[in-house]
Amino acid sequence: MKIRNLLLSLFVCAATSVSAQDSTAVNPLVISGSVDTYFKYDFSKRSNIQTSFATDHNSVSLGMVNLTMKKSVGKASFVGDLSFGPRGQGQSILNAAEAYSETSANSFHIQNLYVSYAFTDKFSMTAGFMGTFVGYEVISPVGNFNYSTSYLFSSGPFQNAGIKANYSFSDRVGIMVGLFNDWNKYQDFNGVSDFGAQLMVSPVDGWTAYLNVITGYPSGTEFDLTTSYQISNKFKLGLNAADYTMPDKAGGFSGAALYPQYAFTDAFALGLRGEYFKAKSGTAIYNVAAGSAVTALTLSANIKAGPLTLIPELRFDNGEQEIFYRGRNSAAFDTKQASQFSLAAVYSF
Amino acid sequence: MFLRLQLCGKPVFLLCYLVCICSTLAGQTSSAGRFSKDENDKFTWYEVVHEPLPSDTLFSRMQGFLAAEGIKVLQSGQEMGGEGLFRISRSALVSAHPAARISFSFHMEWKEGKYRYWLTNFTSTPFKRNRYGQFELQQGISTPLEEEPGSLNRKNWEADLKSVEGAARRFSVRMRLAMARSAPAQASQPRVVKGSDW
Repeated sequence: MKIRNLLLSLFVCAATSVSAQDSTAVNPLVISGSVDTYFKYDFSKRSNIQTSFATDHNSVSLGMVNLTMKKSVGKASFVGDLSFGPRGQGQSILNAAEAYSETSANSFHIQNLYVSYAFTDKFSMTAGFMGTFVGYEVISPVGNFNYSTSYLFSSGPFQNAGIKANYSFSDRVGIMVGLFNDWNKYQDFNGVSDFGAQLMVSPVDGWTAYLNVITGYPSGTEFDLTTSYQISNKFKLGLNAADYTMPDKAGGFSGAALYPQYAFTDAFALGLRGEYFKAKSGTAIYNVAAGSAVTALTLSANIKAGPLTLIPELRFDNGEQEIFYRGRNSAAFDTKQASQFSLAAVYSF
Repeated sequence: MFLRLQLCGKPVFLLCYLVCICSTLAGQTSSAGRFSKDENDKFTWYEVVHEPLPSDTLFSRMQGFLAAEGIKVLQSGQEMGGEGLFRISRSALVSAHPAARISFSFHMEWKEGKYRYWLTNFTSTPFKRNRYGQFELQQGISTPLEEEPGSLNRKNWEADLKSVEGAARRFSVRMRLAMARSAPAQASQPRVVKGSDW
């Protein structure tokens, strides 16, 4: 009831301000997007390492076609972000039945669908279906340096539908608070049950840090630190650390990933992702047995030619327990190590 | 001819607009603004404008213009300097998105009846798409415009150069208009319809 009243108040507040606006500055419709495809070869000769995308072994496979539209009129704006293909459907967003499925055809194809209203330069509100504010990596291949994804990314939320308020104290400090559906839900049948918040600090130019929390039932509680520092024009260092606990302490995960990246030229950069990921006792997560951990090292290059980026990548995963297949004929997990090579092509416009 | 002009509202408006600009700028002469490298090998937009006005009028008009452009300036004698920003975009057919924020230094000197100014020290900070599908600045990266990329990315760099030149040219047009115009008219009161007054 309280949440209903709050939402009603926010809506009335928004409607009043909209009616009072006198600014009618119209910006043109901004259309951008990307296309990505990849080849992956797993050295066990079968799909093995748990990564959200780049899943298919020894195959030239599809990522997605991504189309994003944005328009602002005065203080109001919208973003519509559509995606077609495995990366943008069954691997990252829900179908209408609210299940991840690569075989079900009725995906809504939507990565972001939200409207925003900037009440002032410092305060804005946003409502709709949004890419999650939690974590370092994102669904769009344009936003990541590495092509395969971390365990932390795959285990966290992908989207949060809800309503959120952003307030910037200055260019250096800002907060966000919001009410959200359960993780990755177009429609929440148990009510808007998650609370999320974010504190952003930017101590110096090029360094931003986000402290995130999202909590609710039955989603559980995740604390997340995401920070990146563009130390020089050439060198960038990123860090992601997270801790997640399922309701009733039925399991969860904790882990950290470090992302050093160095641009040797405007066309060639190398980046490493070193990740430690541990499944808490109670539930296995992405084949990582409850109570055990996995370490993953991913070395990627970004070769840029205008809008096209080629990403050759080598990845080595090492589990505390046997969580990978040794070969094509393995009937069960029989090795602690796995490795793969992939080559992705990402075109952004 | 008159009928044709009446039928095409947009061309008439554009024609009037051009005539207005030409009449406004008729009193001033200027060496055409140039975008090229200076003696320090820096890309520079340089222009000398002859404006038949007293130097203090030129100064006050310039102050008003720079304030409207959001350029903070420091004055020293008959010189003025400051920092400004352009935003350039990349577009192809129907798609368009912000490409980079260009920061530059602004310098101006004025005398009785003429002034000159130049924009230089252009540096580029790229935009990158974030998780919400919006473009945001990649803070911490600042590349001088003179830094030529390798052959793989040359086309984008050349497009950015053209965009910066275009932005500087538009800046020049706005500035010459602002410097040439007379003092702004008092805002007129909204007219009220009076039924008895006809």
